[in-house]
Amino acid sequence: MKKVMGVSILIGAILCPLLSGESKLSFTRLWPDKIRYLNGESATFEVRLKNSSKEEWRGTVYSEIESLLTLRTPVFRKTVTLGPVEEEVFVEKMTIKLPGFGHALHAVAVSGKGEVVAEGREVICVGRWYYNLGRCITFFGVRKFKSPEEAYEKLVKKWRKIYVTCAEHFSGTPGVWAGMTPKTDEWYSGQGGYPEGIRGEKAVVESAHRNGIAVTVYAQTGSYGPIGEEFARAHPEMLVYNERGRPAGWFNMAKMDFFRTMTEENHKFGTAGGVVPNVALPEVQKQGVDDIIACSRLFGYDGVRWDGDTFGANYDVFGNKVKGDIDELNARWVRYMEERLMSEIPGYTINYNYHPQSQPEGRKLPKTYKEMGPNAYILWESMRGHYKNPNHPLNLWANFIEGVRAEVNKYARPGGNFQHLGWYAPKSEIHANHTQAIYYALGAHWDSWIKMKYDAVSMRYGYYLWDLRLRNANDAGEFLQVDDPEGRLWWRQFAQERALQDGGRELIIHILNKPLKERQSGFEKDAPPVQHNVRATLTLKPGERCLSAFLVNPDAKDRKWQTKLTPRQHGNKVTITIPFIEYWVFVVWKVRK
Amino acid sequence: MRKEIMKHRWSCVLRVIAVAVLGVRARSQATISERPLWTWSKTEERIAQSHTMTIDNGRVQFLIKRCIQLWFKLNRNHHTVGWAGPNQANWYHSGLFELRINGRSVNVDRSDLRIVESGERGAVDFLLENKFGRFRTRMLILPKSDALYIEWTLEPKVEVRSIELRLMNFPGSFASLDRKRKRDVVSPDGVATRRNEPYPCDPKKCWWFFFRDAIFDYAVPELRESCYGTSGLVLPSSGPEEIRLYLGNYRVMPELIYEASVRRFRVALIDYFKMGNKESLKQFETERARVRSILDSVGFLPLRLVRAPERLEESSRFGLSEKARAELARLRTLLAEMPERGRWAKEPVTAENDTLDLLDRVEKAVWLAEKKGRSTIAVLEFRCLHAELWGVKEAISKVNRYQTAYRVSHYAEYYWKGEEISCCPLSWGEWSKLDIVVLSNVPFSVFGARRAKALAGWVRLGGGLLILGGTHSFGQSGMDDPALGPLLPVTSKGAFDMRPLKKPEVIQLVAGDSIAGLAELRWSAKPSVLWRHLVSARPGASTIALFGERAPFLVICGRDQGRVAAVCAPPYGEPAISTTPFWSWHDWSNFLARLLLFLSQKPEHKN
Repeated sequence: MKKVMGVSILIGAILCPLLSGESKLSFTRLWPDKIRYLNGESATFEVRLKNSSKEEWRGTVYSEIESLLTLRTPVFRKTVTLGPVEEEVFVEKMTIKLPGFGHALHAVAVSGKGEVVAEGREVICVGRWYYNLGRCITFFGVRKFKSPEEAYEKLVKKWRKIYVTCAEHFSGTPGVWAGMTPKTDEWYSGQGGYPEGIRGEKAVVESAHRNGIAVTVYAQTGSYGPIGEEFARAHPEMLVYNERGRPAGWFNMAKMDFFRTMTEENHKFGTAGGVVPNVALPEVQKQGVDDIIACSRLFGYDGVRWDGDTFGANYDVFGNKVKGDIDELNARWVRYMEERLMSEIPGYTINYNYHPQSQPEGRKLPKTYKEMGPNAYILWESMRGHYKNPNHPLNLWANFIEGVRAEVNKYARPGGNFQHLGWYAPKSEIHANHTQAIYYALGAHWDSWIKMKYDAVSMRYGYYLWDLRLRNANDAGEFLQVDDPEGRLWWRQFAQERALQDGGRELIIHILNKPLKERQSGFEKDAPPVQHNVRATLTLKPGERCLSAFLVNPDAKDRKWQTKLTPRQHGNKVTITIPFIEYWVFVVWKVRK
Repeated sequence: MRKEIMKHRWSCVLRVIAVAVLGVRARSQATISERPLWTWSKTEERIAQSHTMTIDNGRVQFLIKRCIQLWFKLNRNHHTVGWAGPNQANWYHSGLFELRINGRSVNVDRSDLRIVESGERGAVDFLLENKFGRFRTRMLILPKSDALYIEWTLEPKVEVRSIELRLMNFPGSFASLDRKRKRDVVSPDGVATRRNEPYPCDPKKCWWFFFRDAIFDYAVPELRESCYGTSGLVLPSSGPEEIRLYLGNYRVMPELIYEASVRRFRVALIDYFKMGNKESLKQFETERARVRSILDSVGFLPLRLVRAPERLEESSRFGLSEKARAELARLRTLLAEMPERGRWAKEPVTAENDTLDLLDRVEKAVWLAEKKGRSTIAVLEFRCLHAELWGVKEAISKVNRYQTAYRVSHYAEYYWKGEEISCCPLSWGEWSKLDIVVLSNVPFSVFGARRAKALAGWVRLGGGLLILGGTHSFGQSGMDDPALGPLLPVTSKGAFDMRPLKKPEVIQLVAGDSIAGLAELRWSAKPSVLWRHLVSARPGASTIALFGERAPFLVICGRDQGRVAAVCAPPYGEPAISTTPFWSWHDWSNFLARLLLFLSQKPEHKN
């Protein structure tokens, strides 16, 4: 009898979910029409709820926007009856009026008994500075797209899935400098040989904009391919020359001749070389910016990425050497570019390739970077290769963290720039998780084309990662103690503070579970062991008290990232316990006198 | 019906085989491009230069790099040659060997890198000349082979008591992991791993060596970024007298010691680019015997010399001068003694050089006699920026009284590694097939000393040279080149000699009679110049056309038996609609066609 009972319990356990209508209820789609909104803009949210069971379900469905840590903005609330295997689509419009950075569209289904039976979250962001709200991506070779719908299906849809807020058309213009605005319907881009076309480009920009994604165009002081060759012919006075009196740059005539007649059948990627315009000359500056404006108006670009230094120790066509403070000249050029672009295309942004100031590479250009800010994007592009080289100091995790931290502290946050770092495509998710966590925990951005673990969570909590008012603390050990007897955690380097208007302050303490090895490896196979019940104790300033503490765990399942903690305060010490750390958590403490 | 199908199938199969064979043959031609000597580092204490040849045999691009380092304060210099690509490390890119005579390095004082052969095979010589003697390192690349076959030929000026050849290898990588590397050498003696002590090897037994790094194995994905692959060394049957192997933490050095009387010795090097240790060792095991067999049997003499006796038979058909006949007789003697008798025994390097010189001279004499009767005009255009605008190819098609042959060599310039041309005649035999060379904005500097001298020699013997203006021409060209500079009919102020004109200036023909047909062109269209080079006609040169205030547009001159013409304005600037820039003038290609015919020295009307 006992045995039979056991069997019936087992059968019951198997059948129970099938019989229960509530357990088969799920949100099949939570879809904001855009990934990024501006305040005042109308948003459309689509929410689909499906009843997969064979029984009718009755209950309440509501949706809200979750913002910051505690703010909730209702979207809709409805009493719903769903027949067996029925799906209902809720399409709700609302006018956005939300704080900057990330939010979650949260949908909940509640049974008649008041139980939450289904729940879902999708992340969006609000704000103008798209560089600082999510991820960036590059694209090229879009001649093939015939409509925005096709561009969406084959390209933009993927961007939405990885929470891209800014897509850069990398080197897709016919000649880059002096050839950004196409004169033909189709072309191969002078720098990469990418097949491009006006229709395809407009389709991508249109589709990206429909989805709230900004599109920027790549530019630099290089005029490439046959267009660059023609520019050099028509305007020798506009070029920069080397000491031999020849145009600076490089070219290969075999490739140039091939490029001139290249067709779809014999198409090859790559460039035939290019020449360098002399941006020290006002007429050249004007010509370059005119071209950026013309192509941006034609395609609807939202900004430009300016690649690399503009000035070097070069000559003009008459043999006069470029003199003076190169950084100052560069800064003047940036100012000119910024002033004209911003006045002629409202909301236009500029970003800049970046030579790290704390690393021995490239020229130091502090004036240039200062001129870039605020709200520009600077890219430490060379970063992407360093981790692969065992001889490079940045191959060591400890140096890597210090390198990134120094750059962000010195040149990104104080200048109001958004620091993006070179993109990686590692073979190891473990390595990518660590790297992405380190960037975000230090206030930098990740730039890549692959789907990563922290794409959604970083956008949702962008206010706690990328707000330019955050300041990295020198050493969190001065006010924090994390119980870590085996030295498995990083936290001292990863603390930020933000002064609040009410006189209080917010402390954001990131704790990372260290990789197992000292060196980086793009092929890392071993994840660090998960750390459990980690205690952290904050030392308050005299007279301060802890108002709240929230834990954000980006590794949490089902997007349930956020937990309110119950801190225990003894004197000026406040202690919390973190249940587990897989790779990365952060705690947001609010304190005030 | 079935028979027909079968027949058709067979013909298809045969066609496929024929295409495959011909295709392979076409691909297996070795081509060589050269980047002339280039200074890549200059400080108060040191200057470092490199000179590179790229030999492509259709399978591998072998990059051979000569490096010169001069230390001013120490009054020292070092001349080396390395196998720089496809692999930087293994056979060290900046010096794969040091040759020591009587215990002293002979990689000093003077060196040169010369192309010896291209086509069926590729061969490059690295020559050292100093107080110790003349030492030639010939690097031979064979079709369908990945190995680099090397022969050293010694012509000492000192009494030789010892000869050591130190080969440099940096197995697999220059990198270290936590300051560690693990260099291993596999040979018939086993696996050598001990560091910093010489390994004596039995030269009778040890005829092959395989170099690898146990840490930096290309098969390890994590380290692939810093790995190049492995490498091998194969010795011939008549190998060195003694072999010592040194394994450092960084460098591995096989030292080959030869008997003092030896004057030629060979090795073959293999580079397993981007191959894992295990995979490449397996491949080395399967191919080393074949490589050795080739090394034993392959001839290092230039094929041009080997085939010369046969070709010289034909030269007697032409009426050669007495001087040429005497040279022909001397040449025949040298060829008959080749490669080890007579002068070749004592002075193998000098004897070969002299034989090649004599062969050049005889071929030049034959060319002079034969050229006039040729019914074709062969043009080689060196193309740089804006060559397309000059329209040389179109002009050649208008030289319609003669058959024409047109070839192109492409110029390239890189700010990080210098300049190069995709092809250039290597021997007199190749120069002699040409009638006109056009430098479409191509600088003299790209030719390097030897090729510049050869080009200048060819012009003086009767070739036609056309210089077209632009960013790399005239002042930007390197007009101080001792061979080519004096050929020009104009002088320039030097670099930065291009200037825009205040307004377009119409070209005026002032000596139209000097070149047949020029006066008949439609000058009424007022072809104009927008930019110019600051050049002046040299005394003795003839200005055919000018613009503005007597600025030269077309200047010609004779140089010994050759002709040179210079178009002294680049096709630059943006003209107003009312202006006819000369390069858009409807008679521009006719203008060039007449100029080319003039330079070819062919009669206006073919007999």
